[in-house]
Amino acid sequence: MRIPTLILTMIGSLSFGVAVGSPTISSRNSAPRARAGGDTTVDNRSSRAFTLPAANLDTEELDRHIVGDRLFETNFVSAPADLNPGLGPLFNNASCLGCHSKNGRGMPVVGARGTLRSQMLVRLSLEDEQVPDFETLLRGPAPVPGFGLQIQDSGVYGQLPEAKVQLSWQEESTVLGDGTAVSLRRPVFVVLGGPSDAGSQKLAYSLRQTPPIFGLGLLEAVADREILSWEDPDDADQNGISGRAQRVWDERTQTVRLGRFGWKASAPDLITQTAAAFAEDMGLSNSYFPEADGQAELSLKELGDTAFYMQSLGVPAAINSSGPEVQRGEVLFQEMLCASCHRPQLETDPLTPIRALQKQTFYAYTDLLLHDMGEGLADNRRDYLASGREWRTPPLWGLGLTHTVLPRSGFLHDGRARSIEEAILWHDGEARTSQVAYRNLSKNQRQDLLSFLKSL
Amino acid sequence: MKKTLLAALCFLSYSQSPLHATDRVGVAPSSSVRDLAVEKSAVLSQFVENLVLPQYRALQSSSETLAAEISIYVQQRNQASLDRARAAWRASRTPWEQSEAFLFGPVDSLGYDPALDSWPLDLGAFASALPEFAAQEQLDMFEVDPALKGFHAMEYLLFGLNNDKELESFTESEYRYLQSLATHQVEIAALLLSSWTEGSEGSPAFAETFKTAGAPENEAYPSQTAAFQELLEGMAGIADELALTKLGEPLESRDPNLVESRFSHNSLADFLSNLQGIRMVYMGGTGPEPEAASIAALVTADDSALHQKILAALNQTQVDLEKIPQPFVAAIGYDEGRNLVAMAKQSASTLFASLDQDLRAYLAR
Repeated sequence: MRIPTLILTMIGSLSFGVAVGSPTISSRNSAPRARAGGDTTVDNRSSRAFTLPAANLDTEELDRHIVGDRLFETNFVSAPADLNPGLGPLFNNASCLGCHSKNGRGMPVVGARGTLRSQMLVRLSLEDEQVPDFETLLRGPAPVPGFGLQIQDSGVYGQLPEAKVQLSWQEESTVLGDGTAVSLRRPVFVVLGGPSDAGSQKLAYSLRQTPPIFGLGLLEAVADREILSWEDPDDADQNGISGRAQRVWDERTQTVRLGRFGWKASAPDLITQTAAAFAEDMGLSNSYFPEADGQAELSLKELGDTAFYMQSLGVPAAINSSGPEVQRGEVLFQEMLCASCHRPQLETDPLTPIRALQKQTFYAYTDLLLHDMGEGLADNRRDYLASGREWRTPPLWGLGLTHTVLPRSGFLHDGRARSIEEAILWHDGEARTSQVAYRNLSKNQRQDLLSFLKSL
Repeated sequence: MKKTLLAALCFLSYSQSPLHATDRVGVAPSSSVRDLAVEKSAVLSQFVENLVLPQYRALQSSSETLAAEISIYVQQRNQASLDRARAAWRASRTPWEQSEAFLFGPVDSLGYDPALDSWPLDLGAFASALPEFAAQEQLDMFEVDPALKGFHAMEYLLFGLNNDKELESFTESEYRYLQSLATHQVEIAALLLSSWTEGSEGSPAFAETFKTAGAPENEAYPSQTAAFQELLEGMAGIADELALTKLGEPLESRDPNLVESRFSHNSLADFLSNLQGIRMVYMGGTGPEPEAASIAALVTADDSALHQKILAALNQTQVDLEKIPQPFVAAIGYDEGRNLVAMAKQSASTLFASLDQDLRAYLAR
C-alpha cells in the first residue's frame, strides 16, 4: 500500500507530544451528531439502550416492532412441541437473543462454558489456491460437503453437534510511542471433529462474533448510489485508503446486489441476513431457506417481522458531545483519517419504504465499504468479493455503551480486542496510518480520542 | 419484550437538569448539585446492600431448602415429603420472581437467567433424556441444555403438566434428575450472589460497579443517570412484561402454553412477586414507607403527587391480581375469569405508564 507524502507529513506532525487537534471549541457544533440516529434516536445509557424502539415509530410500526421483538426473544425447542418448535437438529443457539444479548456485541465465548452459551461461530468454506473469476466470486464461498458454510456446535437432544470449537488466546504486547506497553491478544481456535480433508482445495475458517444490531434499518436505507460514490478502489485520491463495495449474487431476485450486512457485507439486506441466521444459527427453515420439500418452519411474515424489529430499533444518543475533551478527540478522529472509513454522517434514501427511516441524517461512522485491514486481522477466507484481508467498516455508534450492555464483550470481528484502544492497535493495511498516528499521540491526546469514541 | 409506544414517546431532554449535571465526571459541582449526587449515591447503595444482596441471599437459602426437601422426598417418597418439596419450590420461586424487577447485571450477562428460568422446556426431549442423565455417574449440569433444566424443569417433575401429578407416577430417573436439578440451582444461586459480592469471569464485583456509578473509572456506568435509567428499565420492563406478556398473551390467545408456572398453578404468586419486586425497588426496601435513600423518597420530596400516583398504581395492580380466581391457567378460559384478567392487565399497563412516562420524566428533568 502506498502512503502518500501528504499522509506521511501528517503522521510526522502527530508524533508524541506535539500539539495537534486544538480546535476552536466554540466554533465546533457537535449537537447534530448527538442525535446519532436522527429522529430514531433514544436517550438511554442503561444496559437496555440497544433494545428500545426507534423514537419516531407510529402506532402501526410500533405494533409490528413488538411482534418482531417477541420472535427475536423466542426460545425455540426441538419439534414436535406445543410451543416454539423447530430448533435444529443442528444449531448454534436457541434464540436470536441468545447470541445478540441485549442487541449488543457478543462475548467471545464458544460452545458452552458454565452458564455461558456461545455467542460466536465459525464459518468455513472450500477455496482454490487461485482467486476464482468474478462470476464465481459473486456466488459466494463454496460450502464444505457435510458441513456447509458454518460449524453448528450444538444439537438438539440425541443429535451430536457437527463439531466442537476450542478457543484460546495468545497474548502479545506492543509499545506505544511514549513507552506505554499495551497487551493484545489474538484468538487461536481448533475445530474438533470438523472436516479433515479438502482434497485439492484449501479449508478456510473464520471466527465471527455477534455485532450490535441497532440502527441497521438506517444503514439499509442508505442509497446504493451513495455507497458506490464513496468507493475508491484504486485510491485515486491518494490518501492510502481505497474502499470498495461488496457485491453478491442474490438467488431470490436473480440479480447482483450491493452487499452491506455482516462482517464482510455478504448479505444484501436485513431480511436475507435474518433468514440466513434462522436457518444456519438455529436450524429453522424459512421461505428463503426452505426444507428440501419446500416447506418452512417460519412464515414469510415471521421472517419479515423479525427483520423489521431490527430495522426499527432506536439508536442511543451520543453524550457529552460539547465537552472539550470529546471535541478535541473528535478533531483527532478526523485528523488521523479515522473518519475516512468510519464516515460520520450518512443519510437515508427519502424513498426508503419504512416511514420512520425516511429523510434521516444520522451518525453511524461507517462507509459500508470493504477495506484491507492487514495481515493481523486477516481470516484468509474469501467471502464473495471480500478477500481474506478485507472487512466492512463496522459502525461506531453506541461504542461507549458496549461494556454497559455486556461487560466482557469484545471488539472486532472475533472479539479479540478487550478495549477500544486494543481495537485501534489492531488496525493495519489501509488503516495503518491511523494506527501509527494513535501510537504517536501523547497520553492526553489518546485520552481525548478515547473520550470521543466512548461518547458515541 | 419491554417496549411500548409509551417507551418510544418519553425520551425527554435532560441536558439542562441538575440531575444530569451530576453526571459530568470531573466537573466541579455546586454545593446543591453535590448534595444531589450524594443523595443519588445513597439510593444506589441502599438498592444494592438492602435489596439486591438480601434478595439473592434469599434465593440461595431457599434453593438450599428446596434441595434439602427434594433429597428428603427422594428418600421417603411419601405424600408429606412431596408436599414439602412442592412448598419449597414455591418458596424459592418468590425471591426469584421478585428479583425480576432488577434483571440486569450478571444475572443477564453471565447466563444465570436462562440457567434458572428457561422457557419453554423441551418436553419432547425429557422422556428420552432423563434415563440417560440418570445413567451417568457424574452428570455435568452445566452441560445440560437450558431447555431441560431450571425452575420449570423441577416444576414439571414435581407437579406434572397441570398440578396433578400422583405420587405413584414418579420414576427412578425423575427422582435422580430432580436432585441434580435442585443441586444445580443452589450452584447457580451461589454464582449469582458471588458475581455481585466478589465478581466473576474476570469482572469486578457488580455491587461495587453499580454503587460507584459516575466514578471516573467506572466504564459500565460512567454516570449516575445511567444507573438510575437501569433501575427504571428494570421496574418498567417487568411491569410491561406483566401486562403484555404474562397477562396479555394468554388472555389474547387462550393458550395455556403461554402461562408462566402453569404446571404448579403458581402463576398468580409469580405475578404478585413481580409486582412486589417493583415496589421494593421503588421504595428502597420491603417496608410500607419509603426508605430514606430510595427513589420514592426522591420523588416524594419533589413531587408528592407523582409518588401517590405510583403507589396507587402499585396498589390497584395488586388488588386486581388478587381478584383473579385460581388457577390462572383456567381463568383465561371463561368469561368471568377473563374479565378479571383483563382488569389486572389494564392496571399493570397503567403502572407501566406511570413508571415509563411519569417516573422517567421526573428522573430526566
